[in-house]
Amino acid sequence: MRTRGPTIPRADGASKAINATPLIDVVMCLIVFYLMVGTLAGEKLAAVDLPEARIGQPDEKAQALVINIPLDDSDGAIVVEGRSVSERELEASVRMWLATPAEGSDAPGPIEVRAGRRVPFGRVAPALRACERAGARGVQLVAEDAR
Amino acid sequence: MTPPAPSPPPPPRTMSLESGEGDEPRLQLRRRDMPATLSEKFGPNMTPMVDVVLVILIFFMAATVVVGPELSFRTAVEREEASTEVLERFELPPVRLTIKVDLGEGGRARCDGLGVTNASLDQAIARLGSFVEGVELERVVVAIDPTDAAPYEAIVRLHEACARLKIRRVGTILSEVDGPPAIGVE
Repeated sequence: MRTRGPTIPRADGASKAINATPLIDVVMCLIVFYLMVGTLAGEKLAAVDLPEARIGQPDEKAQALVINIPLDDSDGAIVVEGRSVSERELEASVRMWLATPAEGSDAPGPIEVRAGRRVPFGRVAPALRACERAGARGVQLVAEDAR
Repeated sequence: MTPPAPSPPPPPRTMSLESGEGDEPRLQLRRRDMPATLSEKFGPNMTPMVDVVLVILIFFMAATVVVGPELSFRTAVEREEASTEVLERFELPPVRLTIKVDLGEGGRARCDGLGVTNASLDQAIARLGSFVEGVELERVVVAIDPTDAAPYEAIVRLHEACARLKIRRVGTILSEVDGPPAIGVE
């Protein structure tokens, strides 16, 4: 009984069809990569037109609670983990965050505030007040690295 | 007289890209019909799958949030409490510098404090640099007091200036409706 094996180039050097297997392998890897990166980044980070800075600490997003205050003209939304939250909800989230130590540490991870460059401080202040009421001693103000 | 023998039929003309022995190209046209094509193929047709997979790839590439490198500045937000510590003899209290930030003309920040009023952000930063010259930086406390209209960028720029001047104790004053204001001083 004859079975069909893999394609073998013909004697004249021409194969019958383009071998699509490597292409599909690579494309599938790319899809999985973007799927994971998109999910992880999308949950934590919103599109924010950050102010620029040339000096500062490198950010530690992997272990941080990220508070986004995204668009300059939106209605005062505070976005945490891809969800719009009120000041009270944010305070509860921060309280929970501070009660949980970060991986490999006894202390909780940092709290980062990402706000747009033209956002008035009156929209950032409620988030800072919520952090302060929850017991945070400090927050990290995030800027885009302009170096 | 016998009639001449019939000549054999001419061979089918085929053409290939390779020339024959003479100048005339050899004709070797292959038959292209559906059964012949199908007989050469086996396995599933990958074309629709590749189409869909590439569309999915482009979708995820476009949907991914592109984030460049970011920096951060620590600002204290804890509530200031009256210190009960007794200062050591000869120990000086911290040098507290308060900078008020408001929205000025043309959407630019306007700063008060450090002995100047209605100063631009650059002027305030330069003033801050001159104030801390020769001062032990561990004793310097910078309190940024923004109004609700102050642009967030100005607050970040002041933090950046403090980082450049190696001032570590920087905080943001938060006005509180109920109770005393929270003061950002670590």
